[in-house]
Formats: sequence, structure tokens, C-alpha cells
Amino acid sequence: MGVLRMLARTDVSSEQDDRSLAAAAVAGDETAFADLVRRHQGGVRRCAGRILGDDEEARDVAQLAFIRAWENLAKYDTGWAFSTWLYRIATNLAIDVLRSRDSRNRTHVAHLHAVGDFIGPSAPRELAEGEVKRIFGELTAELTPAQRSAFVLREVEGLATSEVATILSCSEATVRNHVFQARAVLRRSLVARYPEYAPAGRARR
Amino acid sequence: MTCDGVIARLAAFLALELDPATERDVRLHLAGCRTCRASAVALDPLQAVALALAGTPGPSDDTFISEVMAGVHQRRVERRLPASRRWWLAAAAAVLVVVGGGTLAVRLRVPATPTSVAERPGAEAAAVEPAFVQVEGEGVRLYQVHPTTPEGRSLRVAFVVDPRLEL
Repeated sequence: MGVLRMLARTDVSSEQDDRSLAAAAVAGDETAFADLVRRHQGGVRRCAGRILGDDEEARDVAQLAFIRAWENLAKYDTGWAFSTWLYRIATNLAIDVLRSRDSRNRTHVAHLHAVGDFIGPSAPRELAEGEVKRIFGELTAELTPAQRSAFVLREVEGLATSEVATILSCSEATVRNHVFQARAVLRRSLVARYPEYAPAGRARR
Repeated sequence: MTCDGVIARLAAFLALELDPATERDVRLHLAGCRTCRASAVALDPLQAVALALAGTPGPSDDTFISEVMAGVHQRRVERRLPASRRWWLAAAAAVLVVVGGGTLAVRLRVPATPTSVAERPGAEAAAVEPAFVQVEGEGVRLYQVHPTTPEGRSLRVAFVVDPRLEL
């Protein structure tokens, strides 16, 4: 899960393992690189999926991101967490895809009742997850690629603002702006589509 | 972190003002506490979506790893091919496209007369069994075909393929 992944990412030994595997991969050890793919595929594919709102495209983007990472391993700066570097590659590829398509044609229609189910005491979790995913795809259709990426990385993936700034190659203030703008757009969309879940005066930023 | 601690920090959490370590603790608590999650959603309905998505595991399967590694291997083979050979292969592929396109165009313009392989001497020789050869220490499959143009000219075209990518 996202929170647990975030905790794992901050684990020093885990990051050292990543760096050791990356060093071995640079030396030509493909098994070491396969281990890196195994460790990070879930996070990269989920993140790309949230940004793109399309699991198949996300799979392709994640695959290309890992291949690009392998091609550029010699340039990897070990001062960064390997996951940050990888997310940067994947996010840039996802943004390229977003810019090259009409994302409005790929949105999904869903009912927000599932969000209520998620909060409710007896919600079937699998159904709620699927519905929430579709709702998110619908609500984020109006976001710019930068807003969408910042929101996903900061709010959904739970990355630190500084890390998102590194991934998006911008300042921390810009990340916050993107997130707050994304929230405003999403909230407007929520009010318009599902007013029962966004009572006036509840949320501010 | 306790529920009281989380509730006290929710406003700062939503304003992105918590330090990373505290935010991690808050997120960890929210992931496991339905009551505090409901409080966060009461402050900001968007959290219903964000927190639900944060709790979703990413897809993970061995097929994905195999596909990535096949792509890595293919890139490695391509890189090890001498530049001159890569150019030659690209040119050969272009020739094949031109010849194939020309043949298709001729067939579209002229009503085809059914012919069997036996009626076209040389057709059997067009496809040659692939050979397994070493290129810069990597084992690759070398396919050679000898298509004949509509004018009767014979061509030689070769393809180098990573055996692991063959169906």
C-alpha cells in the first residue's frame, strides 16, 4: 500500500540495497537490475496509472521507464534515492503521454457512492477501490499534466514536497501551487458532479 | 501516533505544512483508522479519494519483469551491433519495405492470377532457415530472405533477432 511503500522508501537499508543493485547493474549484472524492477514495479506502475488514468498505458510507460533507467544507469546520481530517480523518469514519460492525447476522451464515468462506501463501516473494499479509481479518473480529467502529476505524487503517493519538486524539476513552492490548484479544480468538479459529498464551506484550499 | 495527535495535526496535514516524518506518522495512522480518516474527509472531501487511492497496492507480476528484461536485452544487442552494421540492417529493412510495397501495389493494380508455389520457380528458395550466430558475444538468430522483385531481380535481406523475443 502507498503509505507502507513510503515508509519502505525511507528505510536506509532499503535505499542502500537499491544503490548496491544499481551499481551491480551498471557493471552488467542483469539479475541485479531485474531485482530493482521487482522492488519498484508496483509503485511505478501505480503512480503512472494514477497520472494517466489508464492501466494499459501505465504498464507501457512503466516498462519504458525501466528500460530508460537501465540505459542511463551510468548517469544515475547516487545522491538521490533510486526510487526518486525512477519516479522522475516515469513521471516525465507519463506527462509526455498526457500531453500527446486528449485525456478527456479517456475518462471514466462512475458514481461517487463508492467513496461513501469507502468511508462507511461495511464497505466491500475491493469494490470501493475500483470505484474510487474510476472516480479519480473522471475528476482529474480537467487537470493539467503538471497539476495531475503533483497531486498524485504528493497527495496519493505521499511523497515529500521536496521529493516531488525533484521529480518534477521545479521548486517546492511550485509543487504546492500545483497541488492547491489541483485541489481547487477537483473540488469544483466534485461539487458540480456530486454535491452531496462536498457541502459548501467545508474545504478551503 | 494517537487519534488525538492525528486530529490535532489534520489541519496542518491538509495544508502540507507537516514535516515529512510527522506526515508519515499521520498517513500511517489514517491508513489504519477509519474514524480519523472520516475526520479528514469531513475537513476535505477530496481526502476520501486521495486516501482510498493511497491504500491501493500497485500491480506486480513476473511477466512485467520478463518483458522489461527482454527489452533491456534487445537494447543491449542493438548497442553492440557495430554502427555500420546497424546502418546496413536499416537499409535492408527499407529495401524490403519498398519491394514489399511495390509488389503490393502491382498486385492491387493487376488482377491476380492464382499461382501455386510450384508455378513460381525459386519461391521455395526465398526463405532460408535461420542461423544462430554470435554478434559481439551475444547469440542472435540471423534470418535471410531472398525476395524477387516483379522485374525479376533477386535481393538478399537479412534480419538479426534476439531469440528471446521470438514468438
